[in-house]
Amino acid sequence: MADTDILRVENLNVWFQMREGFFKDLLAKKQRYAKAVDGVSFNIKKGEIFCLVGESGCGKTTTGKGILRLIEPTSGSVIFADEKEDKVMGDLIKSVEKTYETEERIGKFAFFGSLFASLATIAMSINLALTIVNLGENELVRILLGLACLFEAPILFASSRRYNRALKAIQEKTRAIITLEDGRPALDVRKLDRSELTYARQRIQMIFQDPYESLNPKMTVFDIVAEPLVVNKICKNEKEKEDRVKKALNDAGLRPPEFFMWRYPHQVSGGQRQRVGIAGTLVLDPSLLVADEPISMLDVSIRGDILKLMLDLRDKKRLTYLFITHDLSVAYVFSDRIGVMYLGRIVEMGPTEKIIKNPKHPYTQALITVVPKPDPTAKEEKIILKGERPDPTNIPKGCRFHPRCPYVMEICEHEQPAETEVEAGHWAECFLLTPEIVDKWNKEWAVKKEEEKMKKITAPITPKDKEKKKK
Amino acid sequence: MVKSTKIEQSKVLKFLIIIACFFLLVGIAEAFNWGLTTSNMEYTGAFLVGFAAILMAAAFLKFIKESASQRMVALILLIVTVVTVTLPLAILGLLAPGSVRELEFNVVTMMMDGIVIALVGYVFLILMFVSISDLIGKSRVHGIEKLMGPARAEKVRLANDRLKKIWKQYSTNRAGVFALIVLIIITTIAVIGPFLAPEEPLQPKIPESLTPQPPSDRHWFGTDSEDKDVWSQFLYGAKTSLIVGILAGLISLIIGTVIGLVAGYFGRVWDEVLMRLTDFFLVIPWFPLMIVLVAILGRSLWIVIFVIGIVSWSPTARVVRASVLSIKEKMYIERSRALGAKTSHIIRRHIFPNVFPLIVATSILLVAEAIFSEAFLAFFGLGDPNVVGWGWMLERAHDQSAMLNLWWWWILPPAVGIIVLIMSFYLVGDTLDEILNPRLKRR
Repeated sequence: MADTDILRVENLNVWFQMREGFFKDLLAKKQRYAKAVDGVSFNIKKGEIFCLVGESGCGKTTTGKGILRLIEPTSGSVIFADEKEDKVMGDLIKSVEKTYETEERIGKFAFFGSLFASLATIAMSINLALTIVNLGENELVRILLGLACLFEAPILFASSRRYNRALKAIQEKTRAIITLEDGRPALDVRKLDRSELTYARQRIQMIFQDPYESLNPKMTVFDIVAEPLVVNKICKNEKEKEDRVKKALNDAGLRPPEFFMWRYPHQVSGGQRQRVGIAGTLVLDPSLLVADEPISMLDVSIRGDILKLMLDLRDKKRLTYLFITHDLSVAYVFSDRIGVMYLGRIVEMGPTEKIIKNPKHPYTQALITVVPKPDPTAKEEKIILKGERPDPTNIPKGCRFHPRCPYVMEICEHEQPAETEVEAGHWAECFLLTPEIVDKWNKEWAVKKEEEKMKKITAPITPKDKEKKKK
Repeated sequence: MVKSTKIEQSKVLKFLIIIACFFLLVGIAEAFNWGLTTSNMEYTGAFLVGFAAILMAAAFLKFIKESASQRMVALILLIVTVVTVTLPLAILGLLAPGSVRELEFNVVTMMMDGIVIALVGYVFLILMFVSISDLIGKSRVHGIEKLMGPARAEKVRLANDRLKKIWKQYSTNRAGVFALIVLIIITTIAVIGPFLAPEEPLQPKIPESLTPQPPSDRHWFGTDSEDKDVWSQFLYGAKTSLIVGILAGLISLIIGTVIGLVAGYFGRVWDEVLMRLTDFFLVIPWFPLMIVLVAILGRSLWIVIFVIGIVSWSPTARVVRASVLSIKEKMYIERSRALGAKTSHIIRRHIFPNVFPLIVATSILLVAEAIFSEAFLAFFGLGDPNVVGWGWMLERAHDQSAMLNLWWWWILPPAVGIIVLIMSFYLVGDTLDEILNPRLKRR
């Protein structure tokens, strides 16, 4: 199971529309977007801990939420594949197939509806014709036809709309379930219907950052942990529910469960709160956990415990983590692979050892040098990035890191660097890694510039240019 | 097998208790209503109450069988209940001279009686249940746990603790406690008032004198210009005020809460449309609106209740919306959504429980406003002429120019009644607001 992918994110985009006012939006030629996540692709293997690292506001959390569709992604695909003989997956496939059938049936029905409607339209026109020519003697027929006309418009409208929607749904859904290369059924979370998302959410769960905010103060720990069971209507009776909650609390290290079960969130400590949050995700027996900075709000003394718990759970329950953090040292200790995000894009990705020991992207290098070292005598040059983080509404042209990059070249301002494989499984997006491309481009650019210069010289001098010169 | 029989047993017990409560309520209602009016129905009330007592005894004895001492506690409680509530009711039902006071069979009055009695009975039952479970909890007997399973029992216990905490905070406010006592007294008057009244206000009567008589030992609060007893009218009026207040408050509360929830939670177009509607109702002077509505729809008690409810919901909607807006952004809502929860679940389990304390506090203030509105409408001659109320009394007194003639005994009781009732509602609401509203919370 070690090598199979559990999650593949391909070219995920989460863009938020910028609203500047009704009329401005209407008149604007191009809709402006805040590109929080802009073309993120990665894959996570079963039982792995994949870490998304980056400074705040770079879109790590948005990526996590986009995978769970807590924030609706703009485009891209999120393909989730569990083991072959998974019951939940089977249920999901069955449900999707069932919806296909019903949708098809509705589509057919709608088709006949619109057929009827068009017949009614014909009747209406005949009626109209009869009235005009004044041939119809039978009043009753005419009244009936008139009534038919009355109902015609709404039926036509509704049925055609429904039919279109059904067709669209079928088209969409045929792509929601995919078979991977190794024959496993996988589902594209992004293409699932809202009603079927619950199935996916039983398998993909989220641990939230703030254990103080993410637990309802009016609910007991029991209710909080049992909520996923209630929501997804899993337990048959109270006894089963209680057993599962107890088991989850036990797994999350809240022992004995009876001691914690009937408390309110304010009656347990911060670390225990986070454990409650973890227990709340464990009751459903998920296979992928999206952990959104689960330890950043916790006391330093508890962080290790929570991380240890998460590692234990991985071994015990064969969980896979997508771990989101801004702390590179945590990522180093905890994760198997790291993806470094900058401004909505993964700029470097690879195994933890390689990224930390041999960072290729200047941004990663900067991040690593600023991590505090335990040795006070060790002297190392810290790369402090100049400038501020550009905002996602206005992403710079070319390489998005170029305004802050210490090794900025001319090409960086104009071209987007491609993904380059440095070592096996270690990718980075930087022109420093591909000097031959840079050379080639530089030459072309020099030629281009020369041409432009020539053009400027040969072009007649306009009054505007004169003004510019004066300034 | 053993487990299943246990569950069945507990279900049977639950059922028994529910039936007993039902019989108790019906019995009390019987004793008050029909027991007093028709001679052949006198015994029904007493019989039913007695039956309920037996059933309850059976139920309690069955589910508390941990030890002899607990059984004694239950027995004592039961005896106390029977002696303080059941027996007096039964005796009253037996002794009441039915032929003397024949009420007109008015559906409205009957329903009003029923509602008041049900409310009082409900409060009484809750208190009884709380005290019993408290006793059991203290003596570490898991009677309730057997009855409803450990999960539910623990929940009941937690709710108890919370209630106790609220009461602890409440009892520090002296004005609030005083107002609560006044409210209880007025409610008692409303329930047993018609029974204590020496005469029936709407009954036609040949007057002995056409000028109102000042208070005497025959007429405690004097008489009005038709030689009718003011004391009886006062007693009858308490019920009307209370019923109108509670029902109209409830209607406006429901409308306000629903509109606030929808506007706050769904936002966008819903918010815009519903809030403009709320603004409309907020801005319009609502007394004239009420007068117009009642004038159009007619002068019946139910219409008055309906109109007051329809007109006064806007502040609640605003408060609820504001609160929902802040709760909606909380992380636990997002968590719930990540677990796959639907909108209905989120509203039911997350938003409503967090808004509820606020609603409770506002609702009591709404009741006070509704009482005032009812008196106001009645004073302007827009109340139901067939229902005796304090506003109705004031209107009649005003018509007969009681003010000019200084017939103070006719004006003072209803006026003081209205003021005291509204004041006490306001004080209770204010105290609760202080406890339940997070913004006003001390500490």
